[in-house]
Amino acid sequence: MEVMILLICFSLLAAIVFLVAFVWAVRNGQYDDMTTPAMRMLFETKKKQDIEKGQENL
Amino acid sequence: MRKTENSVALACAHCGDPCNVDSPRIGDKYFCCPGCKTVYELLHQHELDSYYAIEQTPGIRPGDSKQENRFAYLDDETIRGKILDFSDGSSARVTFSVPQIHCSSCIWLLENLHRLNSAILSSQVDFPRREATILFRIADLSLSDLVRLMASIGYEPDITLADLNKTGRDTSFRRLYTQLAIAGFCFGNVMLLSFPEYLGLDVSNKPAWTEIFGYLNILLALPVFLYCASDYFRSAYHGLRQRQINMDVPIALGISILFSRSLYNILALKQAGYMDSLCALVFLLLVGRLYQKKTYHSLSFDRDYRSYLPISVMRLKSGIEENIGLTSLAVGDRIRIRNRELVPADSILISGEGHIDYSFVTGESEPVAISSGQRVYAGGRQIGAAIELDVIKEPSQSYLMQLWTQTAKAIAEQPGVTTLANKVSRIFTPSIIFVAFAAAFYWRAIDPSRALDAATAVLIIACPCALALSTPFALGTIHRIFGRAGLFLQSPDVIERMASISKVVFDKTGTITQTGTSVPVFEGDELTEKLQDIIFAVVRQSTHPLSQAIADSITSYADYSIEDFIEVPGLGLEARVGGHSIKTGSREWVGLEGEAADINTARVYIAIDGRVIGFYRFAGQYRPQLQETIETIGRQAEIALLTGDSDGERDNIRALFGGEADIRFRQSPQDKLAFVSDAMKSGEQVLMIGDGLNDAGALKSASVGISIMENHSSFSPACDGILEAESFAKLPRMMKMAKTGVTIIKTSFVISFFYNILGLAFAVQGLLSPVIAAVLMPASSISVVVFTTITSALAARKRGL
Repeated sequence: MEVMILLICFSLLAAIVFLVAFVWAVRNGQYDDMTTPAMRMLFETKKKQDIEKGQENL
Repeated sequence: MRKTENSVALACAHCGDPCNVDSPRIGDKYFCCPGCKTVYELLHQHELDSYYAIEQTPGIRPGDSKQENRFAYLDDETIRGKILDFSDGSSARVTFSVPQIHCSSCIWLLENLHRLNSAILSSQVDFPRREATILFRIADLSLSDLVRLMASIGYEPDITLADLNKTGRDTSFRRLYTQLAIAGFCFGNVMLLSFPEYLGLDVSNKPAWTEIFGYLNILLALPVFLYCASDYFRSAYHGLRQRQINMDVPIALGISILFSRSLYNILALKQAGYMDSLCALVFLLLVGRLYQKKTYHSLSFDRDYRSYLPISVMRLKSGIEENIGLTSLAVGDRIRIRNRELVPADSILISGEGHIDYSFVTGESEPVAISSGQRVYAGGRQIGAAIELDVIKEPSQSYLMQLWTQTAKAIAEQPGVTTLANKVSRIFTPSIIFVAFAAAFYWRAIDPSRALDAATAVLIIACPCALALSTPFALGTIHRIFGRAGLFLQSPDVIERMASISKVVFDKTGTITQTGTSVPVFEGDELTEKLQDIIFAVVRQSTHPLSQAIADSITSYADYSIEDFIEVPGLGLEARVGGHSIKTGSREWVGLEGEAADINTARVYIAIDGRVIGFYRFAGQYRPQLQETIETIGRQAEIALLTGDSDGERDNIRALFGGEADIRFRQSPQDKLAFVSDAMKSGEQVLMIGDGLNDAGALKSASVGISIMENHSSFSPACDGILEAESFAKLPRMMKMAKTGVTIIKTSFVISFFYNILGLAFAVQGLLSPVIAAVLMPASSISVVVFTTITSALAARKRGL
């Protein structure tokens, strides 16, 4: 049963890794602006021909 | 058929403004003005056409590009140092406010700036804040060139004097997220480790287990106690130092007792502690704090005079024009102010014809004619040709600045407002401490070993978590509902103050009247670029509000000279421009006979070479549903109207506001400030609704100051809330909703007292086990949260908000 102590410590450590990752992301400013990245995601890096084709359709 | 379709459908390929077959064109693309065409060419040349593919006609008409040296002041060492976020000599980072950002195309273009100039390394847009952060090689591209580049594509950054005192980004959100994450993490794990206790598992044959789980719980609760709850300790300490018992005092007390009692239980008695309750409590409180913290980033609630003043001014030194920073402007300097520019400091007119529009400062909408030798106050806007002035006072000593100092003084003299929760806490905290002592004394007589037990249990269970959560959740919900309905409040606390309003003070111009009236609509023949230029050249000469409104609606790049200009008051204008004779004014002035079909709207007719080509129509003056709105508000509170205008419309206004309203004309900003501030001192709770800088003092000193916003990019002075103009008629319903909100909070207080009494019944008997605490405390908090959130939302729906 003493192995339980070890297991609890491991599970806590694993959870702490994710907590640290989240805190790092917050400090890094990743949660400062939660609107623009959602819009930016939809931009395509189009080739020139595609752009012209796209505009004809407009 | 085809032709008419064309003339209707033709829109500028860049900005979407209407244009016609004579407009500038490239291939099959038409442009409303040469400016838009230039931007299109520039973008096309750099293969940035995707800009037009993301959204249709996203462009912004570029401003006046003639004044090339307009941004030279940005290369001044001290100004540049203050504007840049960071610079190491070769590369630099700057964050600009770009109010023109309005769609995803804007984001795309601004984030592809590096393709326009290779010295730009990267750029990133923050859409909710309308900001662009640009990293560039300052050795290859000066700050002024960067701004010029942005201006040339229509995104001129908004650089005002306030940018010189940047405070940096608000990072309190980051701290709250971190606290919340840690509290949530610890809460979950402490609960897991408390499971044996919850299930009543007998682990006594292995005493090591209880101990190990206890120690782990202490380890996990430590960051919650020391870091996540630190704001409550700080706030309680500040409150006590000012001899006030705020809501955070009993919370801090409860948290400390919870923690120390648990430490004692675990370390000394080898029993289970209350660490799970502690973590749950702090976690829930932080969730409440986050819910309350919703902010509107794109709106600014704390603009002061510095946000209005430009950062630079054109100084004339021995005949040479140079742009210098406003901070280096000294008494005795000669400055030149062009059309529609603000006078930055109190000065004396030296040459040129001054037509100063003080609507910013005094609220008077008609420009004042100033002749040379007369004084011009800071904040006035020159309408017409450029003027030269001698500065007699530094910008920081000006009339405008004094208004701000007076406001600060007036606010300092007013009695402070105590929130409902703090009022409750003043009675609640001493009562709880009394009950705790009473329990301790009682048990000391009967069973001394249980005395400390009972006393601490009382303080633990009475920790007003539910009490502290009801306000953030009720007001936070209403805050969001108001935001959807068009009233953006600086913080949810304002709602509580809104509920106790006893007097509502209106401003007239721009508040109960629509600023939209200054946007004239042309009806008649197609207005070509040339026609617009001609009309602009003529109407610009007049100070009549209607002429000015027309001039404001036209962006003209041409510079026509005007001959034989005549202005006949009450009739109109006449002049010769570019070989055409033009008349603007009333029907009879342009030679039309009979009455117009619609006599309620003002019209300005335009005749060129004797032929009437159409008219500008000005829509109705007062806001729609104004009468009803005022009547409904009048049933809830006293009403007053303060206006800087003369009493020309006295009868109209009296009819609108009814006999009892306090109506005052010719009020200066100081008068307005004094009126509001006096009412506040006499114990009234004033709601001031205004707009513009002239109301800023009154807005700030009122218990709730709401400024009306005609469109999202317009400036609003320092205030507690910004109301969208089209939501004006919802204001009475919002005021009622605020009152309902306070009733909801009071009801939820009753609910949480019920839980408290239940808990106290256990506590005074010394029967509060950790399990009961762990169930009762979150249960009370969650039921209060659910109750306030749902009732607030239902009440708002019932009122149609």
